[in-house]
Amino acid sequence: MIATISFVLLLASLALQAIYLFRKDGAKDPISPWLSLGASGLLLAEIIRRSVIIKFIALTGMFESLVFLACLTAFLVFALRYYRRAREGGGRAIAFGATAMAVVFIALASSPLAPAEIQPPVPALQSGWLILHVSFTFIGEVFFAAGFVSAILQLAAKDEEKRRNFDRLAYTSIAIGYPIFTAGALVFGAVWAEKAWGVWWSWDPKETWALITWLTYTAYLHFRLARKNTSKVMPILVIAGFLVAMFTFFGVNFLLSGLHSYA
Amino acid sequence: MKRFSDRLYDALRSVKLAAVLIILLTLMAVVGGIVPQGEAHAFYLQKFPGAIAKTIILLGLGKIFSSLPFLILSALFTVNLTVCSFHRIFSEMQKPRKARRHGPDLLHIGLIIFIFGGILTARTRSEAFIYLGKGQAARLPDGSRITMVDLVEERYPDGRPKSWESKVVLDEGSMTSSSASSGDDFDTLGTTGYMDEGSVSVAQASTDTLPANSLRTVKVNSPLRHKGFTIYQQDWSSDMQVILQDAMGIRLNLEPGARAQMQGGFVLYMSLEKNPPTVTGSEECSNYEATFLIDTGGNRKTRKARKGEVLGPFTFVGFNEKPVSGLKIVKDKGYPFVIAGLFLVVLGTFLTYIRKLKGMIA
Repeated sequence: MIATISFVLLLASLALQAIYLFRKDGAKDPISPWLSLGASGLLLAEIIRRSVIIKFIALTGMFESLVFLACLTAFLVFALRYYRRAREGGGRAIAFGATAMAVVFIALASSPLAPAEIQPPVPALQSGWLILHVSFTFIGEVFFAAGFVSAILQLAAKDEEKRRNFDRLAYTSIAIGYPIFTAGALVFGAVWAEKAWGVWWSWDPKETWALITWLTYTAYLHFRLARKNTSKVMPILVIAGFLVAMFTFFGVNFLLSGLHSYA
Repeated sequence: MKRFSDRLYDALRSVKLAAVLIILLTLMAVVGGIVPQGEAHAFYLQKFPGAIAKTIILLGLGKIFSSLPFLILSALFTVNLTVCSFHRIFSEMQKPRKARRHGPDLLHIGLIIFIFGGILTARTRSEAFIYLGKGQAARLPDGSRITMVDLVEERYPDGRPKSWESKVVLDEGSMTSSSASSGDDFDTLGTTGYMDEGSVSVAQASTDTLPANSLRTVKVNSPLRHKGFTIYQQDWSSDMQVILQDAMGIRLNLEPGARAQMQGGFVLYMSLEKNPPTVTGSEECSNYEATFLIDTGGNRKTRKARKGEVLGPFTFVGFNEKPVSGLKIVKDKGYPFVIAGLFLVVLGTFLTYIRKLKGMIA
């Protein structure tokens, strides 16, 4: 029920943003950020409700992960209005793309792919490291999502100034998301794996694809260091990085078998 | 014109080389992420179309992370990282203190320590796996003894596991066996464990003399560290004991491999099979069929029996389910380096990009 209300709020936010996106007078959109914040708050409330029921932080299954990801993405949409560079140019389009993603995440959470049944965690999932691993990974991925939208807009932009602005936004997003993702997906994941399975790295498909995600963004940051221009390689790497991140989250679960069968 | 050594130095420390190596490592990781790793040739022939399977086998794509090209790229990347770090640190030290940026250095040094730890793990890590029931003990490779004092299992109302805990004592005691069976003249020494490698042996042990204050708990996600070893709660299953009753009415619990002595021979319990459900569809023990080896004066024959049947002087009266805990015992000298390296990687990445965070909200 809460997820449905959030879905409706985000759809309303998306519709409003679409209207303001095409207005030529540059008028401020006073409502949609608050709708997104409301949706984010409700999704957080849903996670808290489930956590109270299972007496553990409810981040242990696909449904909960998607709700958390949507919650963070919706919050990012709200937070963007306070980011000067985003306000000055391109922020609206990024917010619109991020809202669309949050809508997709909730739609996926409502699909049969993500059973919404509330289940307390099995012994392997009862770890504080799991919470750190999942939350940091998703926070990092939300910034990657912002980078992804910026990179698409950068490729689509026709004048140089817009391209530069979107390039800066993409770089800022990745520069913030990268350390958080590194800590969450790789470091906390390795620590948890050592405690739970007795091996900190086992080339499990999820681990391998998380490493591929990290390597892709690492390549992006190094390319950027080596070539300080706005060539198409940079946005393509950012887009590839996010697609790999999403494959790591969804694709691996359904296409490849491994130790992360619950996530 | 630059000397060859200078050009080599510049090439080895270059960001461009790092970027190219990262891309190549990424592409190899993608192959490793798609092709299942470490499987037998038959698996690839069965799972993939002929030409693809042959390519996987021929190019060794099923073991890509231990292949020579991957190892060479990784080695070159490590050299690049080391030379770059050396160069960077030296350059940063020339700058005024306030202008120095050590985030990338910490990140790179962390990665070097991490790679060293990874190599140490790959070269020296060893593990063994044992199953222990209550009262059983195993000798660890360092000579100390682990004794299973109790097994505690909790389940949620829907039957899913909630908690698995092994209560163990670690000491230097002997492995002298004591019969856990009610029959004094029966050998029920059980070797129910198996091991991946080496020197972990399992036997019955008396828990009466173990000091109560030395009781330690091994739980999932909460391993027990002991003298360089780490003991993990990895599995939870049960051994089905069979219960034989003699003419005096004394009951004997036999684990698989254990025997009950009789005049001029013995009855050895070998294994248990679950047959298709009976007419009534019952899932009770009547569906189980145990296999015994019966020795009468050196004459041996196997026999399958169900509950209620007579085996020489014994009657097969039932089953007893005995929980056993699967413990993984690991020695990994590389892990402390891995953790230290990862800590520096995180610290380095945050320090490197912290300025972005500072400038985010304007």
